[in-house]
Amino acid sequence: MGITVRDLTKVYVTRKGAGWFRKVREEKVAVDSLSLEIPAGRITGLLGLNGAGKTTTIKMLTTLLLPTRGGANIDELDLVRDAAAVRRRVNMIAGGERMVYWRLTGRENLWYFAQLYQVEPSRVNSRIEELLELVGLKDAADTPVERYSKGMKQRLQIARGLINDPSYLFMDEPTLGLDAPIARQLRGVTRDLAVTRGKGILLTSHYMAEVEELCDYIYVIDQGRLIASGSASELKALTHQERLLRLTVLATAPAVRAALQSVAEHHGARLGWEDAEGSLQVTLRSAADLTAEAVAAVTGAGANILRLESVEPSLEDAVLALAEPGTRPGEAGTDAAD
Amino acid sequence: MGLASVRPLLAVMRRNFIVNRRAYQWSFFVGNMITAMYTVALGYFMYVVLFQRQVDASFVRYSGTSDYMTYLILGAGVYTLSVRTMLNVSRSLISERREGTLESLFLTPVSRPGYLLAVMIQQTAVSGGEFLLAMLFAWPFGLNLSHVSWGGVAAAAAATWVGLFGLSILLGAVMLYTRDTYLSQNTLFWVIYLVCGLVFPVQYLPVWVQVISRWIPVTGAVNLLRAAAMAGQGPAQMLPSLLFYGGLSVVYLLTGLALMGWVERVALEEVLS
Repeated sequence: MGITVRDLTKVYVTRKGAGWFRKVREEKVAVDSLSLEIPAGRITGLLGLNGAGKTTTIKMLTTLLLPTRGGANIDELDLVRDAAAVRRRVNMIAGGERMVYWRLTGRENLWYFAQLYQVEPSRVNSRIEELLELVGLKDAADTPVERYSKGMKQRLQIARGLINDPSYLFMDEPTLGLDAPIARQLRGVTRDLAVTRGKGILLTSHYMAEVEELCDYIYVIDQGRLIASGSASELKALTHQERLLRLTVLATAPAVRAALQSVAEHHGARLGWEDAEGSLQVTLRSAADLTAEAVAAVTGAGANILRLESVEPSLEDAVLALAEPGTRPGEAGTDAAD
Repeated sequence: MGLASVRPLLAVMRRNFIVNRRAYQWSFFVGNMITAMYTVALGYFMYVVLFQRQVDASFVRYSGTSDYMTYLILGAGVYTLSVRTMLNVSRSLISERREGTLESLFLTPVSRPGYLLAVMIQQTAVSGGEFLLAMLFAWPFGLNLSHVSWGGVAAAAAATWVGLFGLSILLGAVMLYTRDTYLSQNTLFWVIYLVCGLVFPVQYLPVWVQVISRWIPVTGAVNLLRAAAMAGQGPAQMLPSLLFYGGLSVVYLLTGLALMGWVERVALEEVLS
């Protein structure tokens, strides 16, 4: 069970004015032969810079846009041929305040969408109450949405996206602009939906920490093409992202420097230091985690460590590196898991 | 249509009712009543004060009646009904787009024709009520229904309903494609007002305009209503006209639905391309 995407392609055709009576046809490839898997019970990330094709991909997979070529299977359903049935199984949550009716109250919005999705009549009220509780809008349930704050509107939109209890949920920047506690709560809910309730989730977000925290597997696309995929750590390794180890050593003895130099040379790490009033500020950059070796070297040389900090390579740096053609580890479709 | 598939349509009607009540309250209703009454009052003063209740022989020949006030009141009523219905049904999808709810609507499994049908039914209830009130207010100006055939009125109403639905969907597709409401709707309303025989017989217009008039469902709506309300024609007597205008309305409806499907795709792609 899951979503299998095969060679999904979207070409936008636009006509731009070229003089008074002439229009020139222009084609823009937004998504190019994209293949990916969104398994049930897992959170899959879709990352890329602006204009990479993330939103277009999500809109095709939610039946809002017709693919130009290729397709997808949602469980046993075909994305295009069985569009009406697919709509019952999926939903989308996008960041921002739209996608709900401002003249209606929060409760009326959820009731309305429950009817459109034909939620079991006996379940409608309890489902609405559950969702209002979940997004913290119980007290404002009967207030027209136009009086909600931006964050409240967004929370209502999240509830709307869950109203049909979808098997697959597409989350396009869901925490954009949310307060930190609500964003954290939503992350908890997202994880719970996947792990406990077996939903398949595709997540895009500019908050890389969020993607790293939540996603089991990540696809990176650039200009509509898949350029890499793997777990967060696999993607970082793929771009040779370095860990940074910072040490403050209570000694400046040559023996300490020699020991650290030896560790750096042995692992091909970059070593730097700076004397600072009887102590040594050391930086060690390496793809591998050299914490244990560095600590052993310093203590073996008879020195004490005053402070130690290990900085993980960031997923953001990895994605940026992947998006730069010159620094890509391989051709399009490189898969760290392969 | 099963009971289950009716639920989304009832929900669309209820939502529209709540939104309209909160957004416009009485302003739209009052505006429409004023337009209808203004048309009737202006016609009344011209007819009574300027022409001393006399109509030209050509008017009698073209319209088949010398009762200009009933002729005018029914025309003004159909205009009000048409404008109000088309305004809200045609603008339903472009309003969803402007309010940012088009995507959340299209994400749901509700059928597009079903959604439009629900909007049309809800609007018919509102516009129909306004039409009846307009007739009531206009009664003192000389509405004479002594020869009315209620069966004919019902048949005319059915044909009018299909015709306005088709016209609304076509206009809605144009609006969604051009992203314009003001120019497209007002141009159409002016054309309807001038060429559909609402305040004077179309025979006064150039022949080529009469040809255009014949192919607009509103012309059929007002002709059928006058035949039933003024000449007392029942459905059997109106059958040829009913078949022609009914058929024309169905053509409008099917064309509108086909066009709307294409325009929806274009509208969604435009947001992203």
